[in-house]
Amino acid sequence: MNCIDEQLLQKYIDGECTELEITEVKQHLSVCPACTRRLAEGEKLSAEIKRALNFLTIDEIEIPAFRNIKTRSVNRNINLIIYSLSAACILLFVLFIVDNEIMPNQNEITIVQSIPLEVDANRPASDQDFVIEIYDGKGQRSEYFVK
Amino acid sequence: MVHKMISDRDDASDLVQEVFVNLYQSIEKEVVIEHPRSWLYKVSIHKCIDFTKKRQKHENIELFSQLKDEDNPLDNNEKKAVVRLALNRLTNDESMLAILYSEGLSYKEIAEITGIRFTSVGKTLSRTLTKLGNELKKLKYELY
Repeated sequence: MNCIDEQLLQKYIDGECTELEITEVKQHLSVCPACTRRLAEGEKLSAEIKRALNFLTIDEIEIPAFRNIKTRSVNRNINLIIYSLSAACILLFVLFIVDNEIMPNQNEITIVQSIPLEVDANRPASDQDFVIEIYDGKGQRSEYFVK
Repeated sequence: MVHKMISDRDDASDLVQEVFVNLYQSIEKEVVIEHPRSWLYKVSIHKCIDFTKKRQKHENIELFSQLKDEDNPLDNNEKKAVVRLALNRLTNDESMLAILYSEGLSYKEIAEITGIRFTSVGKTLSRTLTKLGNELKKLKYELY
């Protein structure tokens, strides 16, 4: 019995044989170890060539190295907030002490200068009347007329 | 399929666009296309062959430059370069046949597209695959 030719063997590998050809090939393979070996090699070669050619169209997606950025930034932010709040608390505490001990409350004097509406801008200031109101720490009001 | 023959993705996209412009023009001229799938493959292949003729030498130099060290196992980019180099060492008809085969086309479709006689497709294919396998092995590509 003649061995399977390369045309028929390739057709068999690719499923292109007729029913009759398939029967013939199977019968021959059952008695011919050399053709069985050729078939196995041919199947491997066909599969590998397809795989190699299809590999050309696979796009490589570059995945950057994993870094837990969120966790780190959250920790940093929390630390920053804690430090800022601590600093603000200390500053407020110091200001409160300084305000109470070094600069104790004192009676304020408020001076309010009122300018009458009928001021004539064309006349010298020395010719016009001005009123100066002074409030002392107890809220008492004093008026001074300047002529 | 076009991207298998043309390494640069932008060039491949341009060629595919040209193919579909041709299809549109053929439809406008009322040209009868019996098998659109085969027609698209055929036109694409011819455009790819024309394109590669112009720049194959240049491409081979580029591909060689991508192979850094022969002793180390190939990385994915080097594997692609090797497969392209091996394909470039085949004739245009052979590389076209191998690519159509890798696309899973039937012998009937391959015969329609390439013009090879239907009864000879198996034999031609077997020889082409063996040749391509040998070229890949020469370039240290691990087939199996």
